[in-house]
Amino acid sequence: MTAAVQDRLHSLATTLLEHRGALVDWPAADRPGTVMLPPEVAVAAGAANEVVSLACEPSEGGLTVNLAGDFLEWSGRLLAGVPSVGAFRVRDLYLKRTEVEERIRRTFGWLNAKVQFREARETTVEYHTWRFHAALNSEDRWETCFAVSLNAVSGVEVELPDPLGLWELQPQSAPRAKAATSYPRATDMARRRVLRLSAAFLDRMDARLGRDRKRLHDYYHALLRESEKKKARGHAPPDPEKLEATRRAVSLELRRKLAELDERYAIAAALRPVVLIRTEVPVLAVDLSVYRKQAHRKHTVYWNPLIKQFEPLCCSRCGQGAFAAAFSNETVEPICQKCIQHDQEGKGRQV
Amino acid sequence: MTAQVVQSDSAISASCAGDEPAFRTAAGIPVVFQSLPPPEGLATGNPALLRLHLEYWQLHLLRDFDQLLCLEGLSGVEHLPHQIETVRKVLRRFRGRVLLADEVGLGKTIEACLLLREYLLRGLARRVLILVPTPLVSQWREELASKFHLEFSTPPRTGAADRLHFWQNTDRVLVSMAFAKSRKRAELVTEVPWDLVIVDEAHHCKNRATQNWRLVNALKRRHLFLLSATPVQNNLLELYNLLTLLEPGHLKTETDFKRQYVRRGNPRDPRNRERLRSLLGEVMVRNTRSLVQMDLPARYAQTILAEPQGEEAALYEMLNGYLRRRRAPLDAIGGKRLIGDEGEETVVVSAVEDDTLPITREAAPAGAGLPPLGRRQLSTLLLAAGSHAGALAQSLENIAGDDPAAAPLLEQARRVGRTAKDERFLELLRQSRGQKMLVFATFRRTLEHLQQLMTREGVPFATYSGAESEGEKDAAVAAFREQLPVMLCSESGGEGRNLQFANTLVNFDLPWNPMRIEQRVGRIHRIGQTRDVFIFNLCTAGSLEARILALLDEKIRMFELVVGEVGSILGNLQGGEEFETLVLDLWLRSHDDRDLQQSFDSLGQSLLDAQEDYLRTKQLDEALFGEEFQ
Repeated sequence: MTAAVQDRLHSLATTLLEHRGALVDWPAADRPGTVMLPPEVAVAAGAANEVVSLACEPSEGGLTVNLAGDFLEWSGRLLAGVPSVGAFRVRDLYLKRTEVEERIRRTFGWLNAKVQFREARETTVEYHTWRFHAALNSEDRWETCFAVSLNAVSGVEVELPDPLGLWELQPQSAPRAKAATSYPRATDMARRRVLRLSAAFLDRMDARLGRDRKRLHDYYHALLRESEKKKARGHAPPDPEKLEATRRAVSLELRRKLAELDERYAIAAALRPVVLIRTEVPVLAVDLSVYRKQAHRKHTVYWNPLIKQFEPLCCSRCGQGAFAAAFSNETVEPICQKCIQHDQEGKGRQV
Repeated sequence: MTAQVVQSDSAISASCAGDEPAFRTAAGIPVVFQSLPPPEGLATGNPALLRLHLEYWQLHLLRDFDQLLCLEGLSGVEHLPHQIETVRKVLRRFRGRVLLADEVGLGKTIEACLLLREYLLRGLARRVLILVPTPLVSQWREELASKFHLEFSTPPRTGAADRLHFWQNTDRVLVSMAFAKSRKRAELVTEVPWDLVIVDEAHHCKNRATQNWRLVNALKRRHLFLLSATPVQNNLLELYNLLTLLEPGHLKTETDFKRQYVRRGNPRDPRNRERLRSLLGEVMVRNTRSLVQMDLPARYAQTILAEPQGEEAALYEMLNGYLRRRRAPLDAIGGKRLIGDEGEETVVVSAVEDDTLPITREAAPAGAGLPPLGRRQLSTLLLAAGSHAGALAQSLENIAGDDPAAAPLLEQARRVGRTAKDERFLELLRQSRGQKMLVFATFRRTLEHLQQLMTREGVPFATYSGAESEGEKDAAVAAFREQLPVMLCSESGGEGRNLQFANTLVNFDLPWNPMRIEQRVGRIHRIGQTRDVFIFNLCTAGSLEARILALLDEKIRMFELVVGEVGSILGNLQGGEEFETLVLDLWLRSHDDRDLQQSFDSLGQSLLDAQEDYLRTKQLDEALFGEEFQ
């Protein structure tokens, strides 16, 4: 374990234990320290006593803070008592109202509707930044952490900077516990992201599976061929029943091995929402009237001062953001180009 | 500290089916997502608290294969560079299916256990099955627990082992091949999926027609480690069969294999060596002593027989009579296996839940209306007697309360003063002045006695046992290294410590399991030892230990073998019993000393046969793989 990793572990353990009410005296990662634990924390950490030593190297009776021992397990238990939803606001962002119409015209493309600019108003929108940990388990393993940020009103994914890194960030004055309505949409986005990020891993699994399948096919087919050859070379005519039985057995074994192989390579993906950061951001909301054939509907697009651009519309079919959108006939819902293309090809929705 | 499976990963494999709609890769591999509920509760305005969560999960990601997790937190394991390299290689290149074929004594078991720990820590495995020869079950269990902090379950000796529930609900199972392969159990073991299967002494699966091979072949497993120092015993097809378990088709069909690699008329001599070696290199790792430069100096052993006199001789006489009166009747023991201690598995007795039961249920009470002694009690008394009168007295104290007939025996044991072994031990101390001497004793009472003995004789010493704290142990080793001539050790004493500065070892008493004796010797006969090693085995004439020593030292010359060879020889023993179980069985079945000696002679012959098997195979493998193969 490198010194840098040790320092990170030291920092995590110290902050976590102090947050849970422990008195920690552990000045440096490379030397052992001492901690006085509240009884419930001692139980959660599996400590033998309420006063124990704390070190990166294992010590008898003490708590060990490293990646291989049970640290990640007991710290995981302690973390369960630490809030994982944050509520913040960003204030004093400059919103420029001029040339809004022109900017919209330059940013969006309306493929089959007329769009009329109505008004631009300053408002506040909550953004939900979901931080996920994803792991794919197959014959091999892949894992990563990433964030998905959504405009909680429009549901569109926005590439926000890390809210926790914003200097303008302030806690919300009276944060409330409210159900995170954006979660289904966020997990949907996160799944796509996982598949995209793990493309190389998935390719590798595909290639390996292909090789293994081929090896099995070659092997068992060769076995079958050998049994046929024996038939040709044999002086006495082979017992057809016996031959058929061999064929069936080999084919059965091949199927069993292939099924085993498929099971081995099946990918189990776990998507764990680690943290939700709710951030109120002042934005410029621009109301638009969209006319499609006989129907019309009001839509709103948002100018986001954190990314300094308009956010895309949210495709009503796939939930992806779209700057060039068509609209459905009756409900005048935005549809992205990909979905239109799939509609035209009659393929329906694809990932 | 117990190594834990990463929480998130165990959840994945447990519930991957049907949780969410599956995506498929280009080759059709299903990707099944399992989503967990979103975080809830009161929101915080403190970013530092959220960062704790983020940092926690970032640390999870740090565990890539360049950094082995299995090494952290292992204090009692001396891992060598070639073992670490093997672990890395298996993780990166072999994708969890490998034949570990290191030469004997280079630590295949350590490699397998390191790999196992790595797989568990990374969440690559949750359900693990370890198949080993019966004589090695207890050693595996102990090593897994004490060195790798991994607890494994051994199937109970009850009907529960014949029900699917046990195999389905036990994630880590250590079992002997003999136990697992019986038709009824084989069906159960192969019905449930395993993430990782380890097969020790895998050459027992060399023949495709055997139950062993069929069992391993039928197992539903993701990863498979086969361990064998001698993968080829008679001909190359055995190697083919083993590798077919790992990767069917890797060496093509048997006919192809024979045509390409087996010389006609000599099935031991390969053709196309280079090509074969290259293919083997994809599924097999073999480290050799010369490759890893691990040649140890010679070791010499001497048995010192102590002839008991007077009170001591009377004690052994009385004890022998007492134990023979209180054992089960011979006809009840018969040729059947007996209800044994933990770890004995080949029992074909109906559901027996209680370990403390006497050796047979059918047995009529023996002696003074008391039930026969259980196996554990018997073996403890016999071992204590072989250790020292003080240890025997302590063991008898537990029995004397229930059995008045044991009281005189207890009195006699307490009356014994200095024993014949004590005298011989003191002589040895006097002769070995100037040598650093490590003295082992199994029983704490024996250690205490030795402490008193040496204090009276004015011989300075250190003590290293489970009773001392870590600090005291450190101090004991330092004092032994710097100034003291003797260190008294309990069974586990000094494991993982560098004690190579000593080159003399005294077994004041002797475990019945040769593997334990080997472990003791291994404390000083290991890498870093530059001088020849001298081993002195003290035992009382006529004792079981004396007979065991005669077998091990005179028959197979155990103390001159290379480290690890004893395990290979025991693995070849027919019958599949733990060695200490065999010894106790021989004692139980014998009518008198003559009878016992005949039984030991017969066991000695079996050991010799097993050794011959091993040596023949070793020669063949050395010729086949050569020194340059890895």
